[in-house]
Amino acid sequence: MEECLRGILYISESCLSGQTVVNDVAKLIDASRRKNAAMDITGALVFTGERFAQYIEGPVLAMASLLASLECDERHRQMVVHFDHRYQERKFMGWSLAYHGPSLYIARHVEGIVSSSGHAREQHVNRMLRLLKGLSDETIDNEHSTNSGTSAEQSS
Amino acid sequence: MSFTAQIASEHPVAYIIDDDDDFRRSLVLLLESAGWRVQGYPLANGFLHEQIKLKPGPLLLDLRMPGTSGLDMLEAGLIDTRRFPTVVITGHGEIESAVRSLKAGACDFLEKPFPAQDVIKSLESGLAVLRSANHPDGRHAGNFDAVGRLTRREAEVLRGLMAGLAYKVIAFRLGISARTVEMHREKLLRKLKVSNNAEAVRIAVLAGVEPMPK
Repeated sequence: MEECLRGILYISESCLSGQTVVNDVAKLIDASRRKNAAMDITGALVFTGERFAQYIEGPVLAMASLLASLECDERHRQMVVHFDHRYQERKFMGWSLAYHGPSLYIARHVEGIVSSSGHAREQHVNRMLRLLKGLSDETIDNEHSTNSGTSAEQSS
Repeated sequence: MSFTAQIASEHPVAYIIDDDDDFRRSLVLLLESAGWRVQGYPLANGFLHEQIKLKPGPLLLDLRMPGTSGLDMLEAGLIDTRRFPTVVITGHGEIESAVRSLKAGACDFLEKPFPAQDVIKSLESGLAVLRSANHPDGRHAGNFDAVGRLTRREAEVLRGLMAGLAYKVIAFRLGISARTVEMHREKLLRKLKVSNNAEAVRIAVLAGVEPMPK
């Protein structure tokens, strides 16, 4: 039988503040990328400035260990798991920061999950997963496409 | 008026490009009553021709328009989103459009019909983007702009560094040699006026550059 994977979506409140946020986020991305790659965990993170929403998936044991360390991570608090499923196949091939920016659209999607329950919450979670997937998907060869969209590329 | 004076003024400027006359006019009235000075355009071309001499300010952009659509304009890089933080508005709020808009450099996405306070909040956050681009912490003000002056290759290498990828991996992804990656890296550090990768990555995050996927 195939190895079983566990996929989790959680939302938490950020404890990062003020002046050092940009620095802290850069450090967090760098550390998470290394750690997750080493543990064979993939997924995507969204940071709205107020909240983190993260989907992570990987081998059951590795996930338990990552969750334990996330729960005592002082960079966030009030961590609530809104989705917890077992799969055979991955949804994400790598781990990335899917979005960090001013968008209230993204923030509203995150709030939608936090403030709902039952079937409504499931729908919000599904939309969030599609958002995470869409925002983190990028083809490697984007030489000729213009939709990989960073301000740096647009003006070069 | 200078750039800084404009974004610090009490009546900030905003722009609207929407071919729906009634919608555009009512939005102009709404925003003016909330203290904004608003310039509306029924066609993308009107704005595109003038944007170089317009004062920076948030832009509300209709996703779907006859001729050049808002998304086309963004994806083609026709809008200077650093001077005009762009909020894409649409009557058809599919997640895919939102994803494409944000990836193409929009700062927000709004589904019609929206409550008045939502459009104002989005414009305010666009204004905040403009302000932080000009006064981040003082120190990186200049090199934030410098990110926009990187060549496509330098920007790609920077995105690779953000992802924490080895030079060899970046080289493979871009189809160039590791030596060339090293060369681009040196040039981009110089352009950003920093001495190491970590500093460059910090500026890139501040400038909203997306890391290369791993």
